Amino acid sequence: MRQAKPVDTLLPRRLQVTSHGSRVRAVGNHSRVGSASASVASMPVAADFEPVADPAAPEYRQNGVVFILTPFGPGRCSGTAVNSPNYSVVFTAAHCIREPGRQGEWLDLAWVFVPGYRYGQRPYGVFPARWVDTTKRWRTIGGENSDVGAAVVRPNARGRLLTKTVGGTGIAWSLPARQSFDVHGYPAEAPFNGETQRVCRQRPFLGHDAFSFLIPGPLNLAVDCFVTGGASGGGWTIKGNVLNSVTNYGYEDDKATDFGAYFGKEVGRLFHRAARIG
Amino acid sequence: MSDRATRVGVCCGLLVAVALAVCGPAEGMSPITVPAGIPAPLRSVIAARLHASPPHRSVWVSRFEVKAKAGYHLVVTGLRGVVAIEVSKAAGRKARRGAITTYVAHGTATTNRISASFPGVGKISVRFRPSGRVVKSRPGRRCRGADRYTIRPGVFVGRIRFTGENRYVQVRAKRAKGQIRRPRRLRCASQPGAGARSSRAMKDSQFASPGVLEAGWREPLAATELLALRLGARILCFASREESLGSMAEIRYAFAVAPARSFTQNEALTAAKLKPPWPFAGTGRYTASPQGVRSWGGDLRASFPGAPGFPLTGPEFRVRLASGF
Repeated sequence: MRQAKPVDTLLPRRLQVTSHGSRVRAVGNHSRVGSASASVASMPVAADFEPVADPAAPEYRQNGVVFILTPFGPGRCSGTAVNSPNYSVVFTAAHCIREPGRQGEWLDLAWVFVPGYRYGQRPYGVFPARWVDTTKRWRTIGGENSDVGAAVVRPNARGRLLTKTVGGTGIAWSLPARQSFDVHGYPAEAPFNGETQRVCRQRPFLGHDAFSFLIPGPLNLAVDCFVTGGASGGGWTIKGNVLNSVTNYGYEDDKATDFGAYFGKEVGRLFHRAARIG
Repeated sequence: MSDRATRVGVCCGLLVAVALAVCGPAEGMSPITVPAGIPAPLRSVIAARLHASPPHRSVWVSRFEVKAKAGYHLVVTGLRGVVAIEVSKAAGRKARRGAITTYVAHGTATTNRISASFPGVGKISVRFRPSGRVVKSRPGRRCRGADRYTIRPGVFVGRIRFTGENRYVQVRAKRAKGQIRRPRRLRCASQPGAGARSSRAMKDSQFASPGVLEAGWREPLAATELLALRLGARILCFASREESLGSMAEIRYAFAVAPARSFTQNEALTAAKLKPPWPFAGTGRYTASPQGVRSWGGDLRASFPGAPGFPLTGPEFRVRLASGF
């Protein structure tokens, strides 16, 4: 599983995070060129997605890597453990669980969550999924505005439940879009290597992607955070430790901006479905 | 995605294929159709550029049109909660040139109502009153059984206000003719892709050295794209600008099919010049140094509805020039 590639670049029609830019077009291997020195100075760079000191520390260990085996090969995403009555709910991006639309394939030949992952280590073990689902709109229509998924995981090899082991974040939906987010994730493509957790701290809401207006569902959220493949599904937390979005995609020609789904009522329904799994 | 060439006199099938290869696959399911004013062969290109795929065939579409002064034409479309006002201006009825700005907002778009607010540019709040006979479309060639749209004509009544940025067009109306199109029992085979066909000989002309110049600039919530394709004796020049403005998005595009002399390059691919006709103006100049440093300068600009003289060159653009052998 360590050789797993980011799901974003793995799937033939995948467009989230790094391959999303290809939906626009392949611009080539250009580096971003700023139009003005002022904008260049404030532009997010890879260093802004800073590595956390210890991903296994209590404040970070709710976040982890999702390793999956899909019909297209192995893949990886990021995910977040969320407090729930069954102590076993993980939130990630829907495209880490299933392709969009009614014809989409489930990407769950194998699906495991490794909280606190660091440098190939699994400090709290491996939590395999026993139930996965996405927002209903992602399953039926698709569209990045609904790119949110959840899993209910089995206990680890020691028989311990997920959030009893690492804790969990809260979750909130139907809040105003204008929040400041801590963006977590395990970006695996250059310049990152996916071996440790990274975080962009206190990133304010910038607005909605123009593309988001063209598809049904709540408008998505943009923050300035340099992301690459593998960061998909990484949790966006507010007010310290409340999950309020997950990373969905970025553009090849502007990796400095990260787009995540708005958590609306449909995400609330997804959480309740997951929390009911006994 | 593969529309057949019908009107444009260039080798549009190949052009579209080349364009899609350049653009990459379209994704997502956009309810916004590429405007009818654009020649059919170019719609795939534009859809790809705008990330828009053809609308899902199992949903209804509400739509009405309003004519405005100064040659502008407004089409309002409602589909699945997405409302779009498309403002277009073409050089002529059969023109291969045009410019369109689409204002998109999320609002109400049901089978009997369209309502959305476009901050600073307009507001739509209308109800549908059916009138006239329901029209059933003809079955598609690739469909078995019923493959029809039911088109219910009628009048949209209510409030139609649109001024655009800086009041470049003013529309105030209480009613407009329109229609609601609903699908009926669609059972259509997907169109076979080019790859499914058996092999066939290629004519030399199909290998006529295509040239591509693309330039783009993406900001966090906006992007500008320019694409020039040369095939044989013609070029296609296409520019788009998309921008997210709070609770509304503006998507502008301009296109022109022009003689090949509008896009020239040297054999070494170290210099190129692009000077397309209206809705474009000015000249874009590409240069590349032996070290590979590329620049894109000049005064090339596009005249989009609501944004005349929009610059398409500058140091912020990433640019690429390529040509076949």
